[in-house]
Amino acid sequence: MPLPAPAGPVSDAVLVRRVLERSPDALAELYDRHAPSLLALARRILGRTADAEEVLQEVFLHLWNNAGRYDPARSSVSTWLVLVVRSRSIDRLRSRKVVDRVHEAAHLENPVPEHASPDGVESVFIRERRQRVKAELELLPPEQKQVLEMAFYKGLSQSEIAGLVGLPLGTVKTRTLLAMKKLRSALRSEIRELL
Amino acid sequence: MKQDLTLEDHTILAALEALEGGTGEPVTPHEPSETAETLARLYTEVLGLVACDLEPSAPRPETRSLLLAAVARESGIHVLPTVDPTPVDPIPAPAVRPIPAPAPLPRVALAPAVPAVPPGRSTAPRRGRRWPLALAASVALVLAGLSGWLVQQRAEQEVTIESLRSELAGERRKAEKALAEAAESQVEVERMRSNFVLVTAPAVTISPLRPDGATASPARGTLFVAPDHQHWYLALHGLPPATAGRDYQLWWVADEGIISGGTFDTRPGETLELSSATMPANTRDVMITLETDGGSAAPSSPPILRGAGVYDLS
Repeated sequence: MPLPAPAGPVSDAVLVRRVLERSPDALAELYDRHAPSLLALARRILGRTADAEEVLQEVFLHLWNNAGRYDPARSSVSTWLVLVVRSRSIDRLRSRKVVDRVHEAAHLENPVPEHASPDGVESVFIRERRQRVKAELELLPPEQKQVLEMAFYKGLSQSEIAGLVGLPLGTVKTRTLLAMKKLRSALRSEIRELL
Repeated sequence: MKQDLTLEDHTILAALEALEGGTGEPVTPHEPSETAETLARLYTEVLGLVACDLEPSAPRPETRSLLLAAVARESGIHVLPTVDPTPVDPIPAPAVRPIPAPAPLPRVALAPAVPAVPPGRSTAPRRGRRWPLALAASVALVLAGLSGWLVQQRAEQEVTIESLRSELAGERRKAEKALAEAAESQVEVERMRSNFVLVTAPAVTISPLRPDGATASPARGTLFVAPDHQHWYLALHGLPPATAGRDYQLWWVADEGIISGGTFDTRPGETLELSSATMPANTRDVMITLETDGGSAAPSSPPILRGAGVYDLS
């Protein structure tokens, strides 16, 4: 009698479906897979680890209660989570900027030190993808990378960026368009893996 | 600028608007078409990848525990307390008082004054009354067997459905990949077509780019500028790759001064094609210099290539 084939890792989309069926194990599995990179993103935006961990918790509770809102035709699960974490972090940053400018200034003077995750948290596949994305971002001309990062990590509009860097709005838009096109072209295989 | 935007440009602008809006939703297609939907999906994934370069950091274990506890509370799942491995004293069994056996009844000789069975009826009916019980037992047995079989069938069907579902998801992914590739090809074809239209337009201005001065460089270029003096296409060949820490930079010489057209690099033997839908007003000349990595605010070295001046871009 042939032995059954070993079960491969369950895809993120299947886990989201199980979360929709109220499986806490599926939520825990998604958390274990994505929490380290999502925490890094929230911390990059917010600067404070405690705030970032709160956002992380909020986002996974949001996933638990709104798994049905995930549309596999519009994004991969990892991208969906990245966009939700980014959005919540920017919201928190904006409200904090209003009420807590003093703390913000103090934080900028003493930024949270970046530290790598412990070995084993990140799969080889994700690590390779991260290195590839990092390399491609490094290859972008600095002026293009700058406008892209200001839009992504600070939630600034194109007009706000133009005002900050002292360039015409058209130039800022052109730079962002070029950066996005380059990334799409350079990260073709990574995007295909996510589709 | 808006009238020159391609569908891809519109999609990117929609992506940027999605970032500004901060809803956390994927990019919305610019128009109801398959290409627009595919482009929206592709740029959604680009946004997702932008954050991939950050070093991941493991959250505190308490964050995970709190999350799972909150989830358990919300869904009414009782989290079992940790079992203490130390043995528990057994509960003493209640003392059982033996029930005294009943005293034997006195034997009474019963006279058959009244017959137990009416005359003419044997004891057979008594045995006959048991058959409903036997039938019920048999039916129960059959039903139990049937239920077991149905449960097994259902489990097998669930496995089959799950496997079909996963096959369907796989096929869907393949179809989506094929669509994405087709959309990419379409974008590429669109770009090539627009460049072709530009370079073959009757009123296009063509300007050769040559090495400046007496430089014996094999580099050459040809700049095509559309009659609207906005769209341009530049083909470069023979340019060696820029040295480490350096980039090529394109410059427009216009009325308002020398304006950067962006930086680029090239590979050995590659014909590099650059194009855009905008250029500064009243551009008179074009040149390429070698600058420090990332480009300079103004040219800091002699031009490697410059327009040969046999055209009029004004």
